[in-house]
Amino acid sequence: MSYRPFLGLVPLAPVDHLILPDLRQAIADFLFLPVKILPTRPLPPQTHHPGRNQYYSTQLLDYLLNDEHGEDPFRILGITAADLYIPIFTFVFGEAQLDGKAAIISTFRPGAGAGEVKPSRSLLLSRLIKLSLHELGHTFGLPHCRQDGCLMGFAANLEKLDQKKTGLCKYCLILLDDYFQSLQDL
Amino acid sequence: MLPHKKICIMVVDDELSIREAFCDWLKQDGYEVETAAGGLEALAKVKERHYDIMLVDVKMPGMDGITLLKKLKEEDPDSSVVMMTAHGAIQDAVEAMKLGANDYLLKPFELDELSLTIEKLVQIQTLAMENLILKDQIASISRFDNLVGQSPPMLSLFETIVKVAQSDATVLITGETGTGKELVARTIHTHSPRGYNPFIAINCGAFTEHLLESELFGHEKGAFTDAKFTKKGRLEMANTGTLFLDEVGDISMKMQIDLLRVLETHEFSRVGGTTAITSDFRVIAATHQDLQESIRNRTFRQDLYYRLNVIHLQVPPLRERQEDIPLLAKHFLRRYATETGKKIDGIHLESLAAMRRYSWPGNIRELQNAIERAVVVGKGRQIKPGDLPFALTSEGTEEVANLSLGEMERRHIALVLTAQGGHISNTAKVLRINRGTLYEKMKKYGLTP
Repeated sequence: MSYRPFLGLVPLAPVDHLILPDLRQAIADFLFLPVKILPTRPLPPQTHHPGRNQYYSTQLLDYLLNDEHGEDPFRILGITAADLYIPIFTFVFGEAQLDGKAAIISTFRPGAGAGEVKPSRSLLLSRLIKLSLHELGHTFGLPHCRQDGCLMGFAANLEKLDQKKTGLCKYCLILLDDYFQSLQDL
Repeated sequence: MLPHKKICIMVVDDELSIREAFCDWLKQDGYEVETAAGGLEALAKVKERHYDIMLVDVKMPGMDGITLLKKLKEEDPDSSVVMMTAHGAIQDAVEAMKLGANDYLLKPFELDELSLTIEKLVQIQTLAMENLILKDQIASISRFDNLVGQSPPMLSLFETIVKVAQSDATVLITGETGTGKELVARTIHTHSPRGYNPFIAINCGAFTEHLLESELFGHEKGAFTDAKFTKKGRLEMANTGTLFLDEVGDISMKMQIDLLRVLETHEFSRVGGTTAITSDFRVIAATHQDLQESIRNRTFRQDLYYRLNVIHLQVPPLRERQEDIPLLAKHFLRRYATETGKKIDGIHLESLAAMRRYSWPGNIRELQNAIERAVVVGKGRQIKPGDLPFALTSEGTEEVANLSLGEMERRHIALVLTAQGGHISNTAKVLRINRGTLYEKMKKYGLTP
């Protein structure tokens, strides 16, 4: 039987399981790719920074790549309720490997874990969809975009994240199309 | 920003995790990034090439950030340096700013701090570059002249130009730097039915993506922070005439998408505007790059290449049309002698022989500069070998054997400066030293651009 590429959604430690099916569906609809929710994996303790009480997202990407997922997903998207960081920033919403295989997002800040107004379920889902597609966009080689409202635009806070549309600008659409075309040409 | 496609940033930090984090993040922001684990490594890299922005950690083992900052400012004063220090060490940042740092960041930063700091520096560098370009454009107006040549490749090129001028097809001109690609484009325009209408040129490699977008398409008032007035773009200004896209190989992938669409429809809107504008222009593009190679490297779109490359003209380098050298040299001599009012009416045979022996890596521009210099320094009625720049005449002469190393260096720098039209960045590039070092040496030898 031939291999059909799929995207693996990997919960890292418990994540709101009610939201995962909706997120899975939204990603699949947007990218026209099958998305499977893979078994939950624990958060590796060595990626935790006690002083910051955050998890180091770059190390989590390595963990996602090296962990056994049973099948071989075309792309892996980790999702965690923990707050994430990279050393130069106070926090990150997520991280991805540019033109790589793995990405990760956190539900912590979109879910108002840092003390903002608690969002409605639909707003939380909208934020997570935007973050997931943004980080996955990086894995498809798309850099940050400066077009107004583009999904690949950089959002430094929740307000800016909420202002973004769940869609790519015409340039990023063409570049994404080029990327998939180049994969087919290989 | 300086005329290359990507802004290049170097991160200097002894911690691997910090370097990696910066590298990933800045690449996602579209920048070219290199890293160094310490001051010595950073300095070695700076000697090799120019970095637009340097992000330097203050606390590092070995050479600390402050010492490195001082050395960087000596090596490459055009590079912007941002110092990074931990919260609570603000006095380090203050000291760094006094020593010439362009900005500082306190680690760890908020998400938007880094992008804002870099964008601010890019904007400042862009303005400085625009200033240089405008000065260069003013200078080039006075150097404009017609094509000159009687060699077979040039006669063939003239024939093609006459034929091409009558059509409205897009033309792609390729050739080494200094071969006169813009002159060819202007000649096509002058001989075309559009000849009495505008010839609008833009050097695509000299602008950042956003500036180029605004230059080409224009912008509406309020489209971005500095858009205080509505401005027409070059596409609009070229209506009924010819649009010359110089260094088209340097356009970003996104701008290539826009340009392709405009070339297909001749319809566009200004930045921040919604009204569709139609403009009737002919496109002539030029590049010194190998676009086929760029297509293979995925930095140039194949569809745009086919759209531009309807008619291809290759302008030969000067070394392949040596028989034109005397003609060109006399042409420039007449011009500069008239301009300066000096009574020089000929070129000595030995000078001509030296010119024919030389390889002219800077092509016609270098020859033009050599003659201009000879006219200025020459004392007799003829240009003698001694009036020519050093490299043209000195090979194998006894004079060289008697020169000190310092004098050799002075003469060589003067030669390259002349060949590059006094352009500091280009001269430094040819000499493979950075601009800071070049300035120092020019000062030492009393040379001016």
